Amino acid sequence: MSNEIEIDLAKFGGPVYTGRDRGESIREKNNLDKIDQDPSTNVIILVPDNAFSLNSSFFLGLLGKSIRAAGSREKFLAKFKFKKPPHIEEYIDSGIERALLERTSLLSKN
Amino acid sequence: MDLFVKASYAAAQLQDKVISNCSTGEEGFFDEYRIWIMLLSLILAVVSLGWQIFKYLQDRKDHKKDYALSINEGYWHQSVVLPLFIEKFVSSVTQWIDVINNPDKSVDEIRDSFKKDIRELTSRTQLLCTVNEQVRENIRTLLDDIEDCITRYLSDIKESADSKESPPKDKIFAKVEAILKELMQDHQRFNH
Repeated sequence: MSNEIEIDLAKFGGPVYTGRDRGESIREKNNLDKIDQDPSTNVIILVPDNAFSLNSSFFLGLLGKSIRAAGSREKFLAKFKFKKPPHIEEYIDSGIERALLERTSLLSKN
Repeated sequence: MDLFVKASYAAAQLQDKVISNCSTGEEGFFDEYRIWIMLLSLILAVVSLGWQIFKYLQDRKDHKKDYALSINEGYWHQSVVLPLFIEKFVSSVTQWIDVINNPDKSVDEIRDSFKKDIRELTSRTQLLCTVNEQVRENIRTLLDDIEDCITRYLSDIKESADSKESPPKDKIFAKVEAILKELMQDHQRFNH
């Protein structure tokens, strides 16, 4: 039996979601570090319809660690579901790509 | 007595044979193949020397090739790829400022095209593979800053559409200019 938690971005301002710090602060408030370690918990992220953009900086602050912890786009999207307006899809794709790019860079550094 | 005579006779015959062999110059096994053994040794020595010289030259050539390659890669990225990338970065941002100044598309269209452009630029940082990771990360952070800055501005334009009052451009353009300056400074620091 899996648990589901919802993160409603409308509660954290908008319609422009920018800034890594802001994303990290929401991540911390929702204990996403802990949730990443718990395979039985899935997360639903609600992006409001009036969202103008969900920029990489914000997305990476909020979910960068979770994407890297999941290790792949598929595993990440199996755990994190998005309810979003259509134009936000591009931002999510770009954010996942970027997080995995940073992961590769971190690996090549070691 | 007979036995003694026979033995003495045999010894005398053997002595004669040895003396006769020596006097006629008849050769033993070693003497017979001495020339061949010497020739074989000489051939082996020449082959071994040749191999050593070949290996030495090969190593020297490889080393030269590696050294040349490393110089060329560094030179290529520092003098060609990175400046081209930065040129693209700056021209792209300048072009977006022009689009924002004279919009002939809806704000949403501008936002989507801008997003696409920024995504492409971010992916291009992968091409700077021999450039220090810190430099690449700085470029991505600057791209994020520009993206944040311009999307916030576009959102302000959209929100203020009803009120017919345009949000102040100067502040946003000053910020973009500062980011571009930072990028150029980073680039110059990297080059020296």
